[in-house]
Amino acid sequence: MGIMRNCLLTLFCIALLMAGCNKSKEVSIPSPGPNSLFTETYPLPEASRKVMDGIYNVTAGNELFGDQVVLKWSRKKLTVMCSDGHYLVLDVGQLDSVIMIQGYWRYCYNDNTGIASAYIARDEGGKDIIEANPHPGQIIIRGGYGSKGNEINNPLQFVYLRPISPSVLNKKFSLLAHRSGGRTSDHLPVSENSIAMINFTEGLGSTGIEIDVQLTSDGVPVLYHDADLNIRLTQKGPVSGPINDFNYLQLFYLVRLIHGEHIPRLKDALYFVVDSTLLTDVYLDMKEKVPSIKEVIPIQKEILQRAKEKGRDLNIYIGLPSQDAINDFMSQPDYQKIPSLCELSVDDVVRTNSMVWAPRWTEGTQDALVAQIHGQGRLAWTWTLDDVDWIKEFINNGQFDGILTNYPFIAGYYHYIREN
Amino acid sequence: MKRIIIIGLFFLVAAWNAAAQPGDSIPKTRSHYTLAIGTGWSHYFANMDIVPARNVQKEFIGTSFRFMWEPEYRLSLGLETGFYRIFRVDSALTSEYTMDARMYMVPLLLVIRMRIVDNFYLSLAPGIAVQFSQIKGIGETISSTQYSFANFEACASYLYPLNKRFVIGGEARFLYIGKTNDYIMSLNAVFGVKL
Repeated sequence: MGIMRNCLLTLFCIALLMAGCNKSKEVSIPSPGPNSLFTETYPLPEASRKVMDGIYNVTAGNELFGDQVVLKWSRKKLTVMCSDGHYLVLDVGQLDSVIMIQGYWRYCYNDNTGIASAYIARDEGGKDIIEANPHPGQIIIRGGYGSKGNEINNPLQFVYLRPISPSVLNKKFSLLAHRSGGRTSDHLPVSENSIAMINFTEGLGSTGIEIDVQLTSDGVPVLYHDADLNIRLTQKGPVSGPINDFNYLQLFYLVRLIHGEHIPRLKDALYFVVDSTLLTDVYLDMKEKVPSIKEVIPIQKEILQRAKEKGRDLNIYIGLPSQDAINDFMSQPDYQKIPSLCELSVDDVVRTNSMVWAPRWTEGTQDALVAQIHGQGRLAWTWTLDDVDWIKEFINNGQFDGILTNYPFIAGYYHYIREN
Repeated sequence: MKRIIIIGLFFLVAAWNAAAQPGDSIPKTRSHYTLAIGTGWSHYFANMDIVPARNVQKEFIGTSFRFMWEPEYRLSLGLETGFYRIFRVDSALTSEYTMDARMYMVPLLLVIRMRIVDNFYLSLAPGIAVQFSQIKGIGETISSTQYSFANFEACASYLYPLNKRFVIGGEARFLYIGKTNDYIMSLNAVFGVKL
C-alpha cells in the first residue's frame, strides 16, 4: 500500500509539473465562413466611411460593450472601441442600399472572443452613408454577436449619438501600439514585431507604432524584442541563443516568428509603413545590447525621404532610452537634425534636440514638465500604459500628446469620446 | 477547469500522504555518500515546428554523473550533472544553402530519490542547464550558450550491490528542458561506488 501511494504521488507530481509546462492556448479569430452574404457586398467609398465615425449609444449588447462606444474607421477596418477593453474589428460593405457589417469582438484582458454581424437598413442611415451625407439624420446598427463558434445568439444595437468632435479630430494625439502593433502574449492572430502586425494594428485603432530594433551579427537592423531567440516569440526550431549572434540570412532561413512570419528587417518594415499604411508615427525602441543607432540613421533618412515624396505625414523617431544611447546618438554627425525621442530628463531632451519627450507613465502626468516641453515646440508621449483607469486619467487630466499602449482601442475610446 | 482538478488532486494526495507512515520492512542502511556514473543511449523527442522530425537526428550517447547523500531513510538527496547531445539537424535549406545545427546540454540538478523496494529507486530532479548550440551554414559558424532555469528530470533506477562498496545497474530517465521546450529520454548503464 505504501509503495503504491509513493508511486502515485511521484506520478502525480510529474503530471502536475508537465501540466504547468503547457504552452498557453491559442485564440482563433472567429469567422463567419465562406457562405457569408458579405462576400456579395461592395466596398464602401472613403467619403461614406467618414459618415459612420462617431459616438454611439449601445441599446442592445450593453452587458459586453457598455453604454457607449466609439466607431472609427481605419485604413480598411471599422473599429468599435469600448470603455473597458472590449473591442470589435469589422469589415463593412454595401449591398443595394443596405450596409452589411461583420467581424469579431475581443476582450483584451482575457481570451473571450466571438463573431459579430450587423446591418444598417436603407431608412435607418444606410442611404445617408452611401450618399456620404456628412450630417446623417440617424444611424441604427442592428445585429448580433456570439460567444462560441459561429453562433450569433445575443442582440446588438448601436444608435448614432454624435460625430467625433472636430476639435478632437484636429488635435494631434498619437495612439501608439506596442511592439509594432500588439503583443504576441495578447493572443493576437499575428506575431509582434512583424510586418503582418503592422498591417493588422490599424484595425485596433492605432495611429502609430513602437517597434523594437536589434542588430544582427552582419549589421542589419531587424525587429525583435527579446535578447535571445526563444519559444515565447518564435516557433520551435533548431536555432536558439542571443539574436545578435546570428546574421540576417540565418535568421531568415532558420527562424519563424510564433505565427510563421519571418523576422523582418527594419528597412522592409518601414517601407511597408510608408507604402501600405496610414500610420503617422513610428517610435524605434533601440535595444542596446549591441548599439545600432549608426546603422538605423540612414534607413530612417531613406524612409522619411520616401514619405516626403509620397506626401505622407510620417514621423520616425529614434528612441534614446539611456545615457549610453544618448552618448552614441550625440557622436553621430548632425545628430541635432535627426528626429529622435528621449526617454530621460527634459534637460536630455534639449541636449539631444529630441522632438519627443517620452517618460514612463508611472512618473505621473507631470503637467509642469509637459507644459515646458510644449513651450519648446516638442511633443510628450508616455509609455506603456495598459490599465483602463490610468488611461482615462492620463487622457482626461494629463496633457500628453500620445500614449504608447498594448491596447490602443482603450486609449482611442477615451480620446475620441472627449468633447473638446 | 483542468487546473482546478489538478489543484484538487494535489491536496487530496497530499492529505493522504500526510497520514502516519506504516512500519518499514526494508532494512535500513547506515548514512553514506555514493558517486555514480552512467552512460548509454539517449533519444530526443523531436517537436520542432519548422523542421520535419525525419530531418532531425535524435539518437545519441549520453553520460550522467550523480553524487548522492544516502541517509538511513528511504529518501536521499544529491546532485546530478551530465552531458547530452540533444539533436542535430543537417539539411539543405535551398539549392544554395545548407544547415548543420547541433545542440548539447549540461544539466545541474538537485536530485530527490526514494528507495521504493530493495535496489529499485525513483527520483525527481529539478535544476538548471547550460545549453550549447552550434550552427554551420549561411555564413560563419555560430556558437552560442544559453541557460535554462526550469528543467525537470524523472528517473527510475535499478542498482544492484556487487559488494559493500560497488553497485551496478541501469537507469531510465526522462528530461525536460524548459528554455527550449525539449524532451529527451535515456537508458544508461550505471556504475557506482560508496564513498
